[in-house]
Amino acid sequence: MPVILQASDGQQFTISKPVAERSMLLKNMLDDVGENEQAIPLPNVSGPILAAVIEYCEHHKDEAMPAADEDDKVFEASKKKPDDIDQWDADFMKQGKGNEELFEIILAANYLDIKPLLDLGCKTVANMIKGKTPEQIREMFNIENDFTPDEEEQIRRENEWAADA
Amino acid sequence: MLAPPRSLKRLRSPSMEDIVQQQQLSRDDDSERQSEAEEAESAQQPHPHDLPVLPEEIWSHTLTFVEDLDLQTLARTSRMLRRLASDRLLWHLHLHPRSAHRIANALILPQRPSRADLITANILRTTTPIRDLDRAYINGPARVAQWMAQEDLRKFFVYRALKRALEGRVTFDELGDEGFSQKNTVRSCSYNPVFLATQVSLEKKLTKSEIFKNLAHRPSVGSLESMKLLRTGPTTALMQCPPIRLKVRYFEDLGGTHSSSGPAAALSAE
Repeated sequence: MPVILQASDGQQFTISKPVAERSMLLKNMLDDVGENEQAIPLPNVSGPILAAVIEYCEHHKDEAMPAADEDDKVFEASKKKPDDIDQWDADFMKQGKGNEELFEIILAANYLDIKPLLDLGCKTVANMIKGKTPEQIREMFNIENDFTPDEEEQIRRENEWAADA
Repeated sequence: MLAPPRSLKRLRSPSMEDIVQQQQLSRDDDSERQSEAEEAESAQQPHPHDLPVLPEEIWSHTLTFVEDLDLQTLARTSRMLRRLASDRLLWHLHLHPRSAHRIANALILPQRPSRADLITANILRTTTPIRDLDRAYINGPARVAQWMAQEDLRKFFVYRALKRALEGRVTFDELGDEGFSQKNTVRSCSYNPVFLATQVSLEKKLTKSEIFKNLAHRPSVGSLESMKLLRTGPTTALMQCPPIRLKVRYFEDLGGTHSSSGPAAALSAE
């Protein structure tokens, strides 16, 4: 039973049910609505991003679904290492994706509730942050420096001891 | 690319609505500011004007993957990230278990840096070579000399102050002249019986030390002999003029017990 997804720009994708069920949002929706021929509108996700997300889901469709009651295991330290990314996932994140696509994918994964993809995106971001200066990070992630001069001074003093190290 | 997030965010849960609006606003501000800045710096790099700002919950999820050093860097980028990165729960639940092994290893390994390491880390200014030890250490000779000089100086000032204070006092004679007291009673005061014993012993001591000081400068028979200045033989000279200590001891013994003592006995004892 294929599922039809419609991106925000009207592009339609037809995927099989196991692929769609990688997304908890779609899974719950399909459970609630039942079999339906109508396209599911995803106004939060644009066509190219949805294509990338579907590519990810296609590749991972055979893996075991993460258990729903995983919340206590979320805190397991071993899961939180940013460098244990699967090779395919790393390539998937790398291939010609700028920051913009990366963020869109993260937002889409968050919206569609695809936990592994969200984790992958966050790990990628964490790896991008590694070893950068605050200015570089601001530029990279479009973060506004909203500190007042007083706060800046305080932060500078707090970090003084580490400046030479 | 820019349009979809705008409509996308309308679909969020209503509780998120305000935050989303704010972020939208701040993002607009941001992109304006960035475009200005970019025009100023001749805009050679394709800057992500339309880069979507990640919502706070995604940042907080991302931070669980970030290492501690990078968290400290992130805390310096903006207020929101500072709040998120300094979350105690985050450090306790994620950073601590992940870094515990590394920290434990670092603590077990020999940690004391060498003097050279400290200098390169700009903690220590210079080494202390051996030749500086006497200057640098408290019990070194130079420090001791300095301390003694300090003490001498302190004593000098105390002495001068005392002397000045004493000189400021009127003497007994002046008191008598001005009729405050009888001269005779004043005189008797100087022989106050309470202090008499002390005074006598003190005088004795002073006289003794004075005598010894004068006598110590006199040459002994041995030195005179070695300088070929004696007319008689050294033994005769010794007989006629025994060493002064023996003489003193003789008279001391006379003052004390009258036991077996005398010039001859003292001489034979020498």
